[in-house]
Amino acid sequence: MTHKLKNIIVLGCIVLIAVFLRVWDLGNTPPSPDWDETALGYNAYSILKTGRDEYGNFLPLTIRSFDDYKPPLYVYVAIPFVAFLGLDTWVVRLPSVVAGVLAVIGTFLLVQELLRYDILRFDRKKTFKVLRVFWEKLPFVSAFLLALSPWHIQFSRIAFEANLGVTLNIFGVYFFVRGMKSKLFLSLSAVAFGLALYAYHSERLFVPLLGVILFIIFFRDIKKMGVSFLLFIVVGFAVTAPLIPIFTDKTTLTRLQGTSALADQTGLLARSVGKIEDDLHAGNTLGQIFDNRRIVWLQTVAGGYLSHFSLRWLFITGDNQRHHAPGMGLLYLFELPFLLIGLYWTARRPSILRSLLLPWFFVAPIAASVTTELPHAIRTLVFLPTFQVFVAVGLLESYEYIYRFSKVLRYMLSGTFVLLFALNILFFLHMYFVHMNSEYSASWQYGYKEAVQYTKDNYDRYDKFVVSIKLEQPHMFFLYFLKYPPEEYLKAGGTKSGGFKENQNSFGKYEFREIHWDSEIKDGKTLYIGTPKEISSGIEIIRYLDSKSAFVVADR
Amino acid sequence: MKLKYIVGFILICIFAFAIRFYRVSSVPPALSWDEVSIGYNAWSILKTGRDEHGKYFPLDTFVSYGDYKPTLPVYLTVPFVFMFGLNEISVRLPSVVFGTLAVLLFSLLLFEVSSYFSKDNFGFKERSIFALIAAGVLSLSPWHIQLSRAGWEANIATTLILLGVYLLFLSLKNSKLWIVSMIPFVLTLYTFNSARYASPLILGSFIFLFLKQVIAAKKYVLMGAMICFISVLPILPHLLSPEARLRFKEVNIFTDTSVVETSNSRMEHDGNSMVSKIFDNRRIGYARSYLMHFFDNLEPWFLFVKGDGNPKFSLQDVGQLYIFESILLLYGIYKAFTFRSRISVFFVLWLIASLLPAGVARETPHALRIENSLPVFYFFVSVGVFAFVSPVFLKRSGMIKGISLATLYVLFFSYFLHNYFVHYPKEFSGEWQYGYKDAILFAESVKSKYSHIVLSDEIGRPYMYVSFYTKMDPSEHRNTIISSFDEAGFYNVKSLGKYIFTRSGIEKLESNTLYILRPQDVPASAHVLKDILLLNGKKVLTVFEI
Repeated sequence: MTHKLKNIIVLGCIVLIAVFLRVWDLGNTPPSPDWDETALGYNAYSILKTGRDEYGNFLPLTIRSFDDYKPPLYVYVAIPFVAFLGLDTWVVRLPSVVAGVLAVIGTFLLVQELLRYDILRFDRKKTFKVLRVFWEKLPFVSAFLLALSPWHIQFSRIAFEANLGVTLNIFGVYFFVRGMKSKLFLSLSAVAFGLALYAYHSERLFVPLLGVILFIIFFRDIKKMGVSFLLFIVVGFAVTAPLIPIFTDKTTLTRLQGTSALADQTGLLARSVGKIEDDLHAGNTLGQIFDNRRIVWLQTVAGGYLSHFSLRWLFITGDNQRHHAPGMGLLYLFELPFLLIGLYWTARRPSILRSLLLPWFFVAPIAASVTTELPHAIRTLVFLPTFQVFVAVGLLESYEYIYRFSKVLRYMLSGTFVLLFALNILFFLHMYFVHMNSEYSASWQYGYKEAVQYTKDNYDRYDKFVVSIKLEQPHMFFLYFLKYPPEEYLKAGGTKSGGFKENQNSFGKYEFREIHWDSEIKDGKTLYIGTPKEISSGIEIIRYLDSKSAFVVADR
Repeated sequence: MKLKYIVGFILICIFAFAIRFYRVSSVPPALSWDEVSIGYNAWSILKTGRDEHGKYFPLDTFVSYGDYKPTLPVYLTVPFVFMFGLNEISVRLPSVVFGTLAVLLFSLLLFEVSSYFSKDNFGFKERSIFALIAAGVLSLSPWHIQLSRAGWEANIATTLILLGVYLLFLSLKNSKLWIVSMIPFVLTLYTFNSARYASPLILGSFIFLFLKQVIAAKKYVLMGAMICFISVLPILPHLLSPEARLRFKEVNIFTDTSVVETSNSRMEHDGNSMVSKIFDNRRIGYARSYLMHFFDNLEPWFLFVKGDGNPKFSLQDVGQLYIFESILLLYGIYKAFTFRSRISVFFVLWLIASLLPAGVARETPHALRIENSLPVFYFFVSVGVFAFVSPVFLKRSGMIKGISLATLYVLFFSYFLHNYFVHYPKEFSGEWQYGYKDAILFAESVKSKYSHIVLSDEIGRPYMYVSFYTKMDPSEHRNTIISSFDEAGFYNVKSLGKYIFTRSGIEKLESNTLYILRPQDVPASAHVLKDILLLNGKKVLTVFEI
């Protein structure tokens, strides 16, 4: 009993760490909601108040937003938070925090369940020579690493849809494994996987692949189960059925096209076109096959897939500034040796851990590989928590290895390691909480809150506020920070988008369009907010946190 | 039984040579400036015993363009220049020959290494098949083929390292070999700049891992070390001289001031607190920058997709390895550790030793500077191939695996060959200093009519191309050259015989002078005699008079 109590306390501490790292200074770090966060927040607000999104669609199953047709789950999950706590940045981010903490707990449960399953199915000695240590510690270490993971913290602290998907994956698999014994869990698993399809684009490819993997691994159990497995399929189908019209709808595909690596035909194929002309000229038939554009496409996709196994990306640099803290990659550098050791030993021992996590690991980047801007930390967020489990395996294996050394040496080695580990974590926290805001505020689209406040303070002095669309979807930021009543916004027609309609968005005194500074009416009754490139000087300059100018406000 | 494998082995080596030798004078499309320099210095040594600067049989370094070239590649070129004259073939043959030797040595090395794998699975038959696979895989390597087909010093160094490692493994069984087995590592110091750091590290890793055997053979090891020490002596003064570090300063990451600026601004942001002094330290910044460059050399797009960004080292269509070899590499690493972990650890240390010095350079990844690591990649790929197809030989069943893998290799190899021989010369001739040869040969044919020939040095080092392609007598070269070393240590040549070299266009054009300039520098009044075209049809130089 005391043993069990101890375990609960340890898990409790891990969860507390996870909560603390995800909640601390939530509204101000990252320094500003980016456009996707404001869109998720305002659409939740709009649906809460009117039942309709910013375009006036009633309870939509795809959020049109900036014509990127966001999957709807985050918006709906955010509604109760917004209803009780109001429309604020930390509130909009809160569902992601909750999902992040649940993912840590889910990882613990999943790893524990997998090990339990291994004990039943495999011979003890063959599975893990140190089964006892593994059995006791692996779930804790995995959950602990996920709680501290820079990658997971980054996306648990912002309103990004992908993070919900990760949590649903973990619970989907966990319930599935438990479902081999209980029908209740099997249907829960179907619900989790079904919901994951509502969570994020990558999930729509990843979840079916994960399903196939699970089906193959647990084929023996499923066969034994017989007809009752149909429950899983029926529930899963019932949950996903509403999405079918969305999948078959053309507009959903526009997002895929927009981000597809194969969309930029001219850039991609320029060299191949020149070559194939030469081949035609020389009558080289073999060459015409080799220089075919399909080969270029294949190379591009395969290269995109492989790009996610870049050590530089994972451990040192990361990609987009919004996806990592300055000076950090997505994983801790100290994890690298243990990742390699963990991968090796996971691969070496027959276990359910191996059969499940290795395919999961290699399937994770598939959905991202056809897209641009690779490697991409969000589209491959489904990697989590495999990295952390492998590192945990590596850590425990290494611990087992040094156990043969003398006590002094052992303490020295583990002491050094713990010190490096701690320094690496502190480095990350320092970079994240102290330097990220000032260095990356431009990437986080900082400045809107201040701009909106300026217009509020001077609301009566002007007849009109014109905001440049060079500032990237300003209407959404203004709606969000003004908490503009959705009823009124929709009455005025809601958002206009597509074609050249971006120039026509307006509500109340606000107008969003291109600013041509030389030909604007400067009568002092219209306030203009634009980029420093458009307006050279004004009455107020709103600066990023590194004091570079973000917006210029001018009235004449 | 044995004969079968030996015949197969010889056939693969012949094949490897054929692939590396076929049309080597015209693909790559022109000699690079380093190649002409090596060629002409070899010619100069052959004719007069002195290099282009008049130094008598230099052992430590060839000053060349002020880049202080290692000496061994030049001396290895001498016999070829003697036999075939001063031309493309003799400049590139040393690399071709050493490339072929690399295939041979790699195969022998893996045969030797596999004797340490578990005895039950690795009998003579399996080891021979493993060695044949190794030879085959390396002979088809895009990385190795491209670097073997031009006069790169790095390629010779790689072969020497392979020889050294092979001898080291042999000396584990025959301790007398310790006397000579370290010599190839010393020779790499005379061969390639980057190898000067990697070779001692590779040798050190081996000694570290097999310390027990080394101590057991300490008598012979010490004798070998003495020989090494003596053979390092000639180059030692140069290695310690400021010139040797001159070029290093320009290319290393630690002179990058932006790291210091970031560090300072972060400390200022934190009010110079204690924490900030630790985490915002510039040393952490530099460590991060170093690791970034270190890992650059393991970037998947570099290894498997596009290869080195410099078209001299890669087609841009095929990675340094074939893309499907990524799977074989991964599988091979896994399998190698299950076969015998100490051998695998040695190869991993070899890889790290080769990448450690390369990470210091700004220009990463760099296929040439890390060529020392090439055998490591192919070791693991060979293990992967062997482990994948071995059931074919062992059980004589399921030939499908073997045949499908062979088909894959044939397809990718043909794709590589097609692009290399058909499209590569045309697309990238501009990267190979193409144009000087045609221009100089044309100028020579009409030389007697002019008192001076003005030649643009925009493409790079034209004086060396003049001496090379006119086969100028070395003493005449030394007597008629007007040149100086600038502050950065570079060798600048103003004129050589009738030739005058200029960077930009000429202000005052004179009659009686032949001009060979970039098309954009040609004045309207020019009487154009000939346009020199790149292989893709673009004008690169224009020959004209007034």
